[in-house]
Amino acid sequence: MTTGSAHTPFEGLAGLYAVGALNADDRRSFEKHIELCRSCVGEVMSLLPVAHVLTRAVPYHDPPPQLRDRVIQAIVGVSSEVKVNDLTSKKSSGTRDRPRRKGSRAGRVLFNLLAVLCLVIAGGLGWYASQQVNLVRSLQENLDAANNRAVLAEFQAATAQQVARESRQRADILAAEDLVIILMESQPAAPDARGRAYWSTSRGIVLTAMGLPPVPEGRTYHLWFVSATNPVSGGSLFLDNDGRIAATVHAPDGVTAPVPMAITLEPDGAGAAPSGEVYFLGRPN
Amino acid sequence: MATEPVTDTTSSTLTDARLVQRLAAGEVSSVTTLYDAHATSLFSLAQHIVDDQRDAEDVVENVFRQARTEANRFDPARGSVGSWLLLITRRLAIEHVRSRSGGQEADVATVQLPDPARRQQFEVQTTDEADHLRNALVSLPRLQCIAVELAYFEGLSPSQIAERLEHQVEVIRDKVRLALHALRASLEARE
Repeated sequence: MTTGSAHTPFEGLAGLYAVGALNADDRRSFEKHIELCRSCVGEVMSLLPVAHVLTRAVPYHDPPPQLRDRVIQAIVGVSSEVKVNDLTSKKSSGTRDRPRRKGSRAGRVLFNLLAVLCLVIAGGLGWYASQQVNLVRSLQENLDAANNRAVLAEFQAATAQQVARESRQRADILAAEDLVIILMESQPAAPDARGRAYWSTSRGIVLTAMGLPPVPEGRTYHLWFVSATNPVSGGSLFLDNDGRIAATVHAPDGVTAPVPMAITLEPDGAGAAPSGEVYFLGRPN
Repeated sequence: MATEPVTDTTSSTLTDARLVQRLAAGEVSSVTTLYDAHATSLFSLAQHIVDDQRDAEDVVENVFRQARTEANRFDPARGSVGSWLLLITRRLAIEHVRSRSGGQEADVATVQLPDPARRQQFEVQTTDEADHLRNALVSLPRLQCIAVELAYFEGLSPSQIAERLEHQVEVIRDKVRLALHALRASLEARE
């Protein structure tokens, strides 16, 4: 999970990413960001199914009846109607040709050989052209398919890498020799909530919390370091799908030892000073 | 419109997988089965995006062509064949609109949706649910609804939407996000 300042430029992009509405540059930047931001990954994953279902949220229009045969013809090659017409045509032409013209056998053989040769050449050229068209189309489609697969693979790899990276980072912090455990005391706004901060001055801080109420629209949980002078923002905190917070954060510049911390509910985008209700308070012993 | 047989059962995913395999082989019966089951939803989406009946017909034809050549990419574990065809329809319809309007602009959205996570699906089972979702969409605050329409059905980027609606990009981002969360909540409430 990234801190608020790193996350802020990407605020709101998860939805646009989920509906495929980012341009190429923004998309690349956002995919770089989600390697580090678990909350954005969670939001994208939760919104993707909605984006997929949106395809059905349109007014109904019945397709014209002739479209069915057109599609079948396009996929299978020849429609049943065409086959019937072809047979009829061949049959009737056969009937017309039944009274054969007179001529030498050798001439007929030569004529037939030439006709066959022409057909072979024409067929060969047609086959060659058809193969070329198919080859080009196949290349384009493979490129497109590869791009799509790459996007999905990147997304999945980024998610896995991010989880692994966060796990390693948390394990490092929890194993630190200078670790201090701070109990985050719940406040009347969420009396059943529980939380702890694992503070290593040398490696970072792991913050865990559960039992917090869902976040109303337009608001975000926010971490504050209460230093001797003023509260300093520790960034936004986001609930995972199970309503928990598990974040790795860093102490602000100048804070070299554990200080009291607070978690408040703030309007989105706030960050200069706490203004919302307090949900947790933690004081180092 | 007929109810579309889109379910998440093992038998239907097997059927979907077989149908797509047979489509790749060019079997007439698979084309007719898929067409009869999904043509209305595909055509409706195409018509909604391209806003022209003949263009929508072209799109639907190309969807089946594309589906045949991309058959190896279909994974029934990720969703039904109906959802897969609809995503192809959306992509091709938006590309059609862009080509009709004189080619791709520099800032247009990429129109590539990452596939949803496995087992995290919202398959629409009946037309009732599709109606429910459509009602949820049109019941959103106007700006949210329009922002989603432009982003999703026209493939516009946030800056293009912002320019068209005369709002800041940040506002558009926020509106799309709020809209999608509201739609998700609406779907979950119905489950």
